[in-house]
Amino acid sequence: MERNLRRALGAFIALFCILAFYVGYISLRFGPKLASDPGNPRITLKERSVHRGDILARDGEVLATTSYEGSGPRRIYMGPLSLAHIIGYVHPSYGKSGIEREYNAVLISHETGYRGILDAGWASLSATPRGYDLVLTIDLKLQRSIEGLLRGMRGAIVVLRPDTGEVLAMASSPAFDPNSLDRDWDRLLRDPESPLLPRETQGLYTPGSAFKVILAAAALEAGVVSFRKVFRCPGYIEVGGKTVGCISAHGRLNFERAFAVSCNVTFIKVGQSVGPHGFYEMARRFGFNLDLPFDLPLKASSFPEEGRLGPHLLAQVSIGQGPILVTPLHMAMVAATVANRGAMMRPFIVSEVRGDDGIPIKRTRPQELARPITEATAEKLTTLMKDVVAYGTGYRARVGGLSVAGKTGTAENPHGQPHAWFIGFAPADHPKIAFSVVVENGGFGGTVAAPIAQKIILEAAKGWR
Amino acid sequence: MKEGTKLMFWAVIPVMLGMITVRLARGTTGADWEWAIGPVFALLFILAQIAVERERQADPLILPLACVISGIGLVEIYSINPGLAGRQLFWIFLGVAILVWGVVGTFDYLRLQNYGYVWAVLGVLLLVLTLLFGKEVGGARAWLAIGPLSFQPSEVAKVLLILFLAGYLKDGQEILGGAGRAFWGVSLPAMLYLGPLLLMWGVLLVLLILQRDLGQAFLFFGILLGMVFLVSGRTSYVLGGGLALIAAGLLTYNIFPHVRARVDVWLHPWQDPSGRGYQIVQALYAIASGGLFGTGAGFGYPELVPACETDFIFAAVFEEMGLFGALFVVGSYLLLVYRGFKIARDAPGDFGKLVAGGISILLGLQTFTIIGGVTKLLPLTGVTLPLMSYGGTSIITSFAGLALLVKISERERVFEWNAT
Repeated sequence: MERNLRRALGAFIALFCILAFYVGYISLRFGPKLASDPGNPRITLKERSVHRGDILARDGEVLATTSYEGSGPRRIYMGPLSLAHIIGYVHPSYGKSGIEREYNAVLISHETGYRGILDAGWASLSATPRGYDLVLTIDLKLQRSIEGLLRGMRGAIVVLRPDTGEVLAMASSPAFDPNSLDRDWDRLLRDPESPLLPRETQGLYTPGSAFKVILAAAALEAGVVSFRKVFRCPGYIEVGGKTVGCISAHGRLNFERAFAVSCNVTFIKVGQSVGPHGFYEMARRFGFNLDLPFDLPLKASSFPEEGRLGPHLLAQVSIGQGPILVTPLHMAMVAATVANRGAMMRPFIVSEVRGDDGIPIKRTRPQELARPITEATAEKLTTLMKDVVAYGTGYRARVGGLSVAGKTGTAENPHGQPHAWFIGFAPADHPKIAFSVVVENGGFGGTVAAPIAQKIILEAAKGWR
Repeated sequence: MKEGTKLMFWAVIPVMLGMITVRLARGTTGADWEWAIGPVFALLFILAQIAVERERQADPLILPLACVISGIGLVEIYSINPGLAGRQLFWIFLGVAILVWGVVGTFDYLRLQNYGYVWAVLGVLLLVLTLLFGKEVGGARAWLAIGPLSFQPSEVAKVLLILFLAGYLKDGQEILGGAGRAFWGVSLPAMLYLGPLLLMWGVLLVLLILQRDLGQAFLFFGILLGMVFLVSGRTSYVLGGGLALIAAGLLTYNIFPHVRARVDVWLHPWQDPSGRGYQIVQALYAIASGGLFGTGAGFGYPELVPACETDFIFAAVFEEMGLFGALFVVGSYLLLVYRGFKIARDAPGDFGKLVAGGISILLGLQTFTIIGGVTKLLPLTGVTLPLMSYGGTSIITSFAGLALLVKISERERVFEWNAT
């Protein structure tokens, strides 16, 4: 019987090994996701038993904090209203949004159990534990100053640091007051201007001529065009039986000038030279049709598949019309890429997770996402974008004593006036900020968006002395 | 100091640490008497180990393993409900007392084999009584009440039937394992030998199924299969039994709606997370919240899982002690099963080998079944985790089984000693 006993034992060893591996597998593979699943009752229990961490601006000023006055803990928002979408809110009935939502687990997390006792001593067991604090990349002075720029309008502004990807300021208009959700919720939901919508990351717009930056990039990298190549613009062009107009009849002009004055005819011809494949490739390299990583949910921008780009559609996308959709953040990233010598940095808004005693638990390091264009191409694009502001459609973004680079956009759309766009960076030669401005149904990019950009640059420049 | 006693000192350390941590975590809501749980537990086991090892050459690992396993269970029960912890400590005390008395006393386990059919009759009787007069708890009529106390007769019946089987099968090695005209792998004499046994087993299974105690039915079947294998060495019996099990499973799935419900919840718990799937979903949340090292004893929320102190105690361990704690527990059980088989191997007679083997098989199978169910590896069955689950019957029968193991091992060593 000894042999049989041994075999039986072997069977049990095998069974228990299976059990051990299975247990390890489910714990490691599904554990983290399940633990932070909203259905886990522990999260709500933990939230109630933890002092939720604060959200701070770049300089340490408190933007969101928990107050214990009155009946139980309440979340108070002290930052400018333009940050409402980014920071979000925590509400017992309306749920969570923004950073409050995406970083919920971090804000209520702290060292627990054995390690907690060791770190904080026995006293920590009777006190209410405090969740981690978050430090954002937001420059409060800049944020406050851009707040009024979109007043009365629908749109968004995004300001990035091109060399790191940090979001210095971000605003969406109209906004709301997260402190008075109880009073305003129904009104906010029914408001046709969608004040709850974070347009910077969730708004999808046709880019219009601002998209010519990408076509120019494709053309320059393919060697299909040079600054001095001459084009002829009679004010219109026929493609596939349809006529596309230009702002005016530009006559004979070289590519450099065509970019600065945003000549549609030239760019339609350039689009034809680049071809659907080259164009699609460049759009893809700039992150179109991809889910780009960000601390908040970011809608993916879309560019049509190259198979769909027949002559008429190709002409449309060459001037940034047709089935192209972009988010304001993505366009800022496009400008930032040119500013950063062709390297697209991962955008982020949370720079640090801070523990109880102010000691950083985690710091975000800048990360390069992709290199859609070479440094040489970036340099050429910079020159072109400087021209736009120097003598082209973007002259109202001019700032005395500073070289500004940019591109206007006037995006036709079926809902009325065109969307006004302006994207760019400054100072052009050693960029400290890259930005995008979009005003829904605002009119001409050069008239409406460029002046806003000018004010942004003026404000940011105060910190550059 | 003997080896085992030294081990026992090591074994009580994690348990005491756990108790202290939970008491600290409870802070101001904890009562003063709770500080005593750990020390009393430790004292109990250390004294028991000394008693068992004093003059006997009994297996030194069984008690330390039982200490660690039941201790971790006690820590979790304490974290869930301190009142229950006090009662569980009492049951553990009784169980250990029975073990010590059984080992130290002059009781000769070999006498048990003479009562073969008594065990069988008792076992069947217990199950019949439960069927007729039992209380229904959680969909199964598994409890019998005597006055203010209630117990689970099927747990006792398992041990009784191991004793019966050991007595019946011990002489059957040639019949079952030997050469002979085989008929689909089963020889004629074997069929005659096994016939009455299978019949009786069928009766038992029907009784259990009628009581809706399918988990126990599975274990009974497993014990029979396992012990027949030990005696015969033929995998054909195991395979045949396995096929019968699958057939029975399919049959019950189609006939009984509650079986179908169990299987559906096992495969798709998230389809009804607040209804039928609530228990397993909460268990999975608990397991996930544990991470690698757990939340720390007393810092988790194990009480959110239904039946957390009984069938689902493992989920509590997983939440508060993490993957490492869970693997430690699985490893400890495996060690215990290994010790059981080792004792069986070294036992001097076939009766001893079969009893020890049967108990080891029961321990291993039951542990695997419930841990598998709690982690969604297997469908959920209403069986307890031996030595860990809260409950007088479960604890006492587990310790009774261990008592038999230690008793058998003691005989073995004495035998070796005499031989030199």
